[in-house]
Amino acid sequence: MTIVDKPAVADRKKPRLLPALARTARILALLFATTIFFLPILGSLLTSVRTVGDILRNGGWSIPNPFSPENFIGAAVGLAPYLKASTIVTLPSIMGVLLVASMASYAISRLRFSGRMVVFFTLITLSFVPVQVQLIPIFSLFNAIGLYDTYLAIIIVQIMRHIPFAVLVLTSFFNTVPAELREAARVDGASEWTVYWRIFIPIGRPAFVALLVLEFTWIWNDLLWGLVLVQSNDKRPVTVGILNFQGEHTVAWPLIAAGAVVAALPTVMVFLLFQKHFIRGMTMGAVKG
Amino acid sequence: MARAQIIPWLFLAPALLIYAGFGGLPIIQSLVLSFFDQTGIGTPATFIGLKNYTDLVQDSYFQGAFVNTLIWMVSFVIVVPALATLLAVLLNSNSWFSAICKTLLFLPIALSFSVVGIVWQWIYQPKIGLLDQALEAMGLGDFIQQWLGPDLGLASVIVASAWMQTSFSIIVLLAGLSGISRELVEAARVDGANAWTMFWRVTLPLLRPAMMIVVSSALIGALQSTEIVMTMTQGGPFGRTDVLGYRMYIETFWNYRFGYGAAIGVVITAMTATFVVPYLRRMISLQERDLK
Repeated sequence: MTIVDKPAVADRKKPRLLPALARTARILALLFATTIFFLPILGSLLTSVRTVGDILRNGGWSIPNPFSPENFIGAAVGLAPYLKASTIVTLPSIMGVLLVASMASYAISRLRFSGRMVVFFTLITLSFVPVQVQLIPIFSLFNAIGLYDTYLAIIIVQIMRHIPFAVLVLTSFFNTVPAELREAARVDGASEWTVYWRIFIPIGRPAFVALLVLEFTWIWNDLLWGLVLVQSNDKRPVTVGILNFQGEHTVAWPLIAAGAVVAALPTVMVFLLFQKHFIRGMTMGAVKG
Repeated sequence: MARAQIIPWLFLAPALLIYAGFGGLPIIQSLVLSFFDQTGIGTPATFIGLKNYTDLVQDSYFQGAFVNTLIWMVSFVIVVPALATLLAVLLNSNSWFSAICKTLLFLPIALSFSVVGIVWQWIYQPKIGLLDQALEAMGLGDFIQQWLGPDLGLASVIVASAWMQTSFSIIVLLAGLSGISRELVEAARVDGANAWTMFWRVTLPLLRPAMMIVVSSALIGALQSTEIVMTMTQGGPFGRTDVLGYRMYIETFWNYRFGYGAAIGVVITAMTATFVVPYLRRMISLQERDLK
């Protein structure tokens, strides 16, 4: 129930009419707003199953005639190498972020040492650093050490960029785990590593799933690093690939729209399947800038 | 005792070393580089003091990008929180209808700037584009504009970007709304407050923490916007949609003016810092309580 759709109860003679009216108004407003908001996606989906001739004859909003799903074959074939590159970069990046961030979070949340707060607050602050102030030196560094135009370059940078946010989320989560759990294990002779690996990693599952979904989306969708750190076409992520694809098919809008759908599919599927985790991750701890 | 002090740092080492080496050091290097004249990599750099910065002030391309970025920030701060609040309040219910609307409204945050850029380019395409076609179909053909032209280009790109930003802001505000205690709302209603008063006097003040995140993120998002310009207009026509982040990219990777690009990066960072401080302060006070 919202606050809005329950108006004042002062008038006792007609208690039913006003709430019903308010509820209808709310639903209509929501329906209107959602439709407007969703039109760009709907329009692109419609375009992706058309022919160019159909657009010229019937415009972009009619029922596609002829229905041409074969655009997706062209798009999938054209984008396949880029999708592969995105996968090769994204999966190790996520694993790397989760591993090093969870280790750091365990120390910050559970171990008492001087400098703990400083480390944590420094990391939080770093999550706001704009890429623009890291771009040039990182580019130069990878050129100097021979990692330019390798998957590894992007993977390292993605891990670096996402450490602060992951530490924030995982620290908040580990803070909610009862302290007795670690203490009991320690009394039984377990090392800190065992406590971390055997207790906190399994217990952190909800936070890991939420982060996994978010990091997948963010890393997969990154454009800038894929543009700056690699040059060979077969190493470029799909975010760069779809722009190349657009360049090759300048006015073939149905094919380009199908390409956009194919490029967006992995993250959209993950979002639709794990929406709850996605939102929990976003609201847990803090929010990416 | 010494051992107990080392173990935490062993846990922190991988994260700290990766960040320090590949993230922290580059920040310092950018700052240093901004006082040098360097063209591309592998060429010698000459120390020129503040010249990059004094050049920036006189550079008409930079000035244009700066003004556009400010316009972007102002538009975001006005439009995004208002729109997102309205939608969040409408959505704040557990019905199946709300659930469907939420999924559709949240969807843009799963999209990349590349995809969003392409989708909106197609919307704004002259004549055959989705917007012109829709206006034509509704008999509003007179309202058709050159959406990505010199006059409206910036506004059109901002709309596309606001579409994504609003999506994200709704999520934050809904989380804020779900944290508002029902008792408080009930109490206000018993006291005879109507919906309007309740929104302004009860809901909105209680939403302040979430609203702060929304406003800060909108400012930062606007300030750092780069990719959406890159994918939609490349700053054109005539630099009318150019922004600071994109200028930095062009000066660096197209004009190979590394020192100059670094100076723009430093400007963006300094501006970000001023908007992040209040947000950061609040986050830190919250976390401090948790970490005790």
